[in-house]
Amino acid sequence: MMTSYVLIPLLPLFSFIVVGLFQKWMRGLAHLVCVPLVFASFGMSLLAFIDVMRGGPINFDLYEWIPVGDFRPTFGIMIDQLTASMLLLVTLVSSLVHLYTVGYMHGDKGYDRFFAYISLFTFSMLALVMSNNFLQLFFGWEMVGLCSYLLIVHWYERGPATKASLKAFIQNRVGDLGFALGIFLIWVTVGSLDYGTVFAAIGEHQGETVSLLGMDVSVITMIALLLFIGAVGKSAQFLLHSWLPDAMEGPTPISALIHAATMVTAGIFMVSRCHPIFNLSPTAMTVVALTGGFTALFGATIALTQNDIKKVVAYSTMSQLGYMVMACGLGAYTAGMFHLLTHGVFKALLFLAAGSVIHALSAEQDIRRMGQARRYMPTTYWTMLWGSLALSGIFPFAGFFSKDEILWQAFNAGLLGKGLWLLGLVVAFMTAFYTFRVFFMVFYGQDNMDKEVKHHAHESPAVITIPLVVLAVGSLLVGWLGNPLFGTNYVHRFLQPVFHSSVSHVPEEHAGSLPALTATAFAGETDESGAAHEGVPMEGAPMEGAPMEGVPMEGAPMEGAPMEGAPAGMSENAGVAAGHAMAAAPHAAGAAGEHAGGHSRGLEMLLMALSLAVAAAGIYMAYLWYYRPNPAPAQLAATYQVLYQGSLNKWYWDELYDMVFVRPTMRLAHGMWRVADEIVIDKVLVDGVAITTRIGGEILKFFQTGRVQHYAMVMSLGICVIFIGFFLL
Amino acid sequence: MDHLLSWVIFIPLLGAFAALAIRDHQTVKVLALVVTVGDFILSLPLWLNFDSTVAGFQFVEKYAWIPTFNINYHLGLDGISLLLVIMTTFLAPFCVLCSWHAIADRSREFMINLMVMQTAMIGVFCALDMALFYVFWEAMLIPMYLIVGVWGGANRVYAAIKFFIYTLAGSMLLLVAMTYMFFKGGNTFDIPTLMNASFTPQAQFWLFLAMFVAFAIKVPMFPFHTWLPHAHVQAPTAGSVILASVMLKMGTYGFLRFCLPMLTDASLSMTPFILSLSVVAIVYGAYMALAQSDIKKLIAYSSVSHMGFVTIGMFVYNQLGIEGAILQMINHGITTGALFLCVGIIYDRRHTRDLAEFGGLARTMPVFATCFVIFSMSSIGLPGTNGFVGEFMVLLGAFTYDRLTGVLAATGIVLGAVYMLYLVARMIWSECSNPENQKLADLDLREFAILAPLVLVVFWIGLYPAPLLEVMHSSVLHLLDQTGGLAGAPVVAMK
Amino acid sequence: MIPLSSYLVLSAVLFFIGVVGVLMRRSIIVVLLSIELMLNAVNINFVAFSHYLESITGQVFVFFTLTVAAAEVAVGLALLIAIYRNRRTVNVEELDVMKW
Repeated sequence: MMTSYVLIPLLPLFSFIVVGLFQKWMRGLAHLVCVPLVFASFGMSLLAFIDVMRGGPINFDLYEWIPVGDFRPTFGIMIDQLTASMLLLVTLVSSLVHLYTVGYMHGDKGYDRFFAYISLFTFSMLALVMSNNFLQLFFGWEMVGLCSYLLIVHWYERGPATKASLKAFIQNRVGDLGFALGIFLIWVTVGSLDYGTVFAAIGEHQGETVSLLGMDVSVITMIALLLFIGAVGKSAQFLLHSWLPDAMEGPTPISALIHAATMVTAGIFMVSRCHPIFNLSPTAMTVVALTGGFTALFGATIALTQNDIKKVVAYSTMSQLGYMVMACGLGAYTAGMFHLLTHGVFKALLFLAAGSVIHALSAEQDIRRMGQARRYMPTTYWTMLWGSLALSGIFPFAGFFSKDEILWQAFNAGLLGKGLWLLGLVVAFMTAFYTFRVFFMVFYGQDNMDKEVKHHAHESPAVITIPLVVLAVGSLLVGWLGNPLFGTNYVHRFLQPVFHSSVSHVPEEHAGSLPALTATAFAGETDESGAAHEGVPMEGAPMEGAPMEGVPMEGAPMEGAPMEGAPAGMSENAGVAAGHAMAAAPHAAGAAGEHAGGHSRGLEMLLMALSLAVAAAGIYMAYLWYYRPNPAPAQLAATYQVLYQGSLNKWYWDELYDMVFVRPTMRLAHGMWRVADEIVIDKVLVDGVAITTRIGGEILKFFQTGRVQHYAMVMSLGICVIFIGFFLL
Repeated sequence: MDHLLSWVIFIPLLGAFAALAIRDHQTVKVLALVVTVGDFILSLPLWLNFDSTVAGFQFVEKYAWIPTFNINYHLGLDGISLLLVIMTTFLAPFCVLCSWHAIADRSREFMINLMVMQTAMIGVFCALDMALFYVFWEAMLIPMYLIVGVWGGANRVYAAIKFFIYTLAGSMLLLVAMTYMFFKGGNTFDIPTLMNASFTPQAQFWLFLAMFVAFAIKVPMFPFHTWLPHAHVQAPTAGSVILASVMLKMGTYGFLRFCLPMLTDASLSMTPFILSLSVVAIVYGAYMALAQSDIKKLIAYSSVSHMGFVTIGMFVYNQLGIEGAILQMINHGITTGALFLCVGIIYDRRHTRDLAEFGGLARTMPVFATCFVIFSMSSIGLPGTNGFVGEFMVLLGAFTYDRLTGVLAATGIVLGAVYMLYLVARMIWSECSNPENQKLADLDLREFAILAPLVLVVFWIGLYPAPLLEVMHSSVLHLLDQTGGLAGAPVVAMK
Repeated sequence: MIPLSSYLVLSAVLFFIGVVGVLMRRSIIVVLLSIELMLNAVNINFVAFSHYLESITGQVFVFFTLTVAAAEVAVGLALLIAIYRNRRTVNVEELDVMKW
C-alpha cells in the first residue's frame, strides 16, 4: 500500500510521456491528460500527508540506480513530515497552475508541449522532494533545472527568452557544481549517500578537516558550504541571483509554479533537509544567514523601482527566498519552511493574478501603462489584493504569521540575529511598499492604458479565476496553521519530528509532544553521548543560533526530566543513538528556545505589532504616492539619481557578470583557439614535424640527379671509403 | 555456436567480399544493412552468455598463426571489452543508414569500406595477441583513410593524410614497444601472459612512454588532438560517427588493456602526468568548443573534453573511476555518435554546418529538435541520461583519489553546459529568420529509425545502468588487483 | 712461370678501366661495353685462381658468367633500342627520368 505513493511522481511523468510522444496528435487537448493526472497526484499527496501525520515517515527504496562496489545509490521514496508538506504545496500549486494554463495558454502554438513540460517539471520536483538520498536529490535538482530551462525558452522565437534560458541553466549549473562537490565530499567522508546513514554518521566526523587552498577547514563546514552553493544557485541567492528575474521571459504560469512556489524553494528545502549537517557548523550557518539576509535586502531594493509587473514579483520572490534562507541560517528551519509554504501559496497567487492582468491587457507588462484596471477585472483585483496583503505581512493573512515567525526567531538569535531582525524589518517595509506600488499603479492611479488595449480589457475566464480564488482563500487561511497566538502551532508540531531529531527514526508517540522530545534529546546527550561529546566544546554546536538570550532557559530543568521519555532503543544501540543525539542536541536547544518563546508572549506581541506597523507604513507610503498621481516619487528619484539608477539597473550586476565572466570567457576561448590550438599546437608542433621532414627532403633531393652514373659513382666511392676504412682501422 | 567471436568479427568482412561481387549499388546498401544488423544480433549472445562472475577472458579462441614467432590467433572478451564490442556492432547499422542517401557517389565502395572497418574495429577489442591486435589496429586505418579521403569534404585529402600519418606515427611506437615486450616478456605476444610478465621500472617507463604516445594520439589527449577537428569536419557523417564513437575508444581501451595491467609501476608513477593532461583536456576542449562556429568542429572539440573524463577515470585506480571510465566510453560513443548523426541529418538538408546559418529548428523540425536536445543534455551530463552516470562515477572516483583532480575535472560540467547550450540555443531555439530554414522537412522514417533507438539507449543507461555495470565488476576488480591500485592508491576506507 | 699476382694486376687494371668507363662515358653502348670489360676482368680472376688452386670450379663459373653476360647484352641492347626509339638518344646524361 505504502509503495503506491510512488504514483505521486509517476502520474505526472506518465502524462509527460503520453503528451510528449503523441504531441503531434494532441491538437490542444493535452490538458485532458495532464490536468486529471496531476489532480490525482494531489489527491494521493493528501493521502500521504494524512498517512504521515498518523503513522510517521514512510521510507522505501525502489531499485539501485548505480550499483558499483560500495557505491549503491538508489531511487527511493521517503515521505516524512517535511516531504509531506512540500508534497502538498507542490501538487496543489501544480494542479492549480495546470488548470490556469488551460485558460492562459489557450491558442498558443506550443500548448501541448507546454503541458508536457509542466508535467515533467511536476515529476522532477516530486522526485526531488521525495528522495531518500543525495543522488536522487541531485537528479531532481538538475531535472527541475532542465524543465525550468525548457519552459523559459518556451517562446524561443523571442530573442530574450533564449538568452534568459541559457543564463538560468548556466548559473544553476554553477550552483550544481558546488552541490555535486558537496555530495562527493559527503561520500568520501561518510561512505554513503543515504539521508539516514549520512545524518546519523555525520556527527562522528566533527573535528576532521579538509585542506582548502592550504587552509584546514572543518569537513562538515566544507560540506555544508558546498551544498549551500547549490542552494544559492537554485534559490537565486546573492551572487547567483541574476537568472531569476530574466527567467520571467517564460510564460506566467511557469513563473508562478517554478520561479515562485516550487523550484526556487528547493534550496531552502535542501538546507532544511540537511539540517543535521548545517547544525554542526556554526560557520556555515552564519554564511547562510548572512547570504539570506543580504539577498532579502538586495532583492527588495531592486524591486522598489522596477516597472515590469513580473520583474517586481520576481525580485520580491528573491527577497522572500532570502528571508527563508536567513531563517534556515539561524536554525529556525520550521519558520523557514513555514514561510516557504505560505509564500508558495501567496506568491503563486500574485504571479497568477499578474498573469491574469497581463492576459487581460493584451500582454502588456509595464505597470506605467496600466491603471484603473479594477473596473475591468474585479475577481483579479480582489485576489491580487489578498495576495499583496499576504506578501506585505498584514494580519490575518498568511505572510503575516510566517514572516513574523522568522523575525521573532531572528530577534531571539543573539547579536547576529538582532542585526538580521532589523534588516528584516527594513525589508518588510520595502516589501509592503513595492507590493502596493504595483497594486495601486495597476488597479488605481492614472489610467494609462492604450485605447486598443482598453478596448479588449476583460476579466479572465473561469479556468484562470478559479485557481486565483482558491489560492486567495489559501493565502488567508494557511497562516493560521502556524499561528503562535492562539491554540496550537500546527506547523511546528507537524514538522518537529524532522527538525528536532534525526530523520525518520523517532516514533510518532515521541514526536507528538515537544517536552518529551526535548527531554529525549537532552537525555540522550547527557547520558549516552557524553563521552563522545567531550572534547567538542558546546560552542561547537551552533548554540549561538539558539535563541537563549533574555529568555530563561526553560529547557534546562529537563536534564532532570524523567528518562522514560527516551525511547528504549536508544540505550540498546548506544552508538547509533549517540549519533542521533549529537545531531539532535542543538535542535533540542533550539526547540527549547522556540518553546520558551511561548512564555514571553508579551515581547512577541510587541514585535508583531511593530512589524505590522512597519508594513502598514509601507502600504501607506505607497498609497500616498501611487493611489493618485503624485510627483513625489519622481522628485525623489531625481534627487537621489545614483540610488535610483542603481536600483533600476539591478545594481549593474548583469553588466558586471558580462564584463567579468561572459566576455572574457568568450574572448579567451577565441584567442586560445586561434593562437594556442590552431597556431602553436597544430601549425607549429604538429605540422612543424611534417614541415621539417619536407624541408629535409627538399635538401636531400639535390643529391638525387636521376642519372645512373652519379649513383654508380657514389656507390663506388662508398665502396672505396669502406675498404679504406676497413684496412686502415 | 562455436567460434562466435570469430563470426562476429569476420561476418562484415565476408559481407565486404560478397559486395565486391555485386555491381548494383542499391543491393550493396541492403546487403550492408543486413550484414551490420545481423552482426549486431549475432553479438548479443556474447552479452547474454557472458558470465559476469568470471574475471578472465571468455569466448576464447586460440590457434597457432605464425608459430615461428609464437604468434597466435587468440581472441577473447572480458568485462572491459564486451560492451565496447556491443557498442560497435550496435552503431554500425546507423552508419549504414545515415549514408543511405548522403553517399551518392560510389556508395558500393563506401559500404565495402564500412564493413571492412567493422571487422577491424571489433578485432581490436577482441584480440588477445599483441601481433593480432596490431594487425587489426593498423587495418582500421586504411578504410578510415579512404572514407575521409574519398567521400570527405572540400579539404578531405589534407585531413585524411594528417589523420593517417599522425596515427601511424603513434602506431610505430606501439610496434616498437610490442617488439621489446616480445623479447623481454618471454618470446610471446600473448596478452594474458604478458600481463603477468614483469619489466624493470626503467623499461616500463620507456614502454609506457611509447604506448602513451600511441594511445594518446588515438584518444586524443591534449596536446595530440589537433587531427581530430580536421578529420571530423571533413569526414562524411558515417565516418565521423565511427571515428568519434569507436576509434577514439581504441586509445583508452589500449590504456586499460596494456598500460595498467602490464606496466603497473610506470602507470602509477606517471599518474600525476596523465591526470594533469586529462584535466587540461577537459577544460581546454571545452574552451575550444566554445569558440567554434562549425557544428562538427564544436562536437569534435567536445569529444576532447569528454575523453578527458575517461582518461581521468582510468588512472584513479578505484572501481568507481574505472567502471565510470568504461561506461563513459560507451556513453560518449552513443551520445557523440548521435550528435554527429543529427548534424548529418541537417547537413543533408542544408549542406552547411555553419552555426550562423541555423536557428529556430524547434519550429520547423520539432522531432529533430527534441532528439537533438536530448542528446545535448546527455552530453552535458544531465541526470537521467547516460552522460550523467558515467561522468558522476568518474568524478566521484577522481575525487576519492585526489580532491584537487576531482574539483578541477568537475568544472567540466559547467563548461560543458556552456558550449552545448550555446550550440542548442543558436541552432534549435532563437528565431527562425533564415528563409532556408523555414521550409525544412522534419525527420523522415529512416532518420527517425536512426535516432529513436539512440534516444532509448540514452535513457536506459541513464536510469538503469546496472546491467552494463554488472558485467564489468569482476574484470575491473581483477584489473585493480593487477595494478595493486587498491593498495597503492589513497583509497578511503569504506564502511 | 708467370706469377698469380700478374694476372691479378691485369684483372684489376681491366676492372678499373671498366669502372671508369661506366662512370664517365656518355654513350650507353660504351657503358655496356665497359660493363662487359668488368665482367671479363672478373673472369680472368676466376681462371687464374682456378689454375692456382688447381680447382675446376673457377673455370665452370667463367662459363656461367659468359652465358649470363651474353643474355645481359641481349636484354641490354634490346632496352637500348627501346630507349632510343622513345627518346631518340643514347646519351646517359639525358636519361634522368629517375628524378621525377
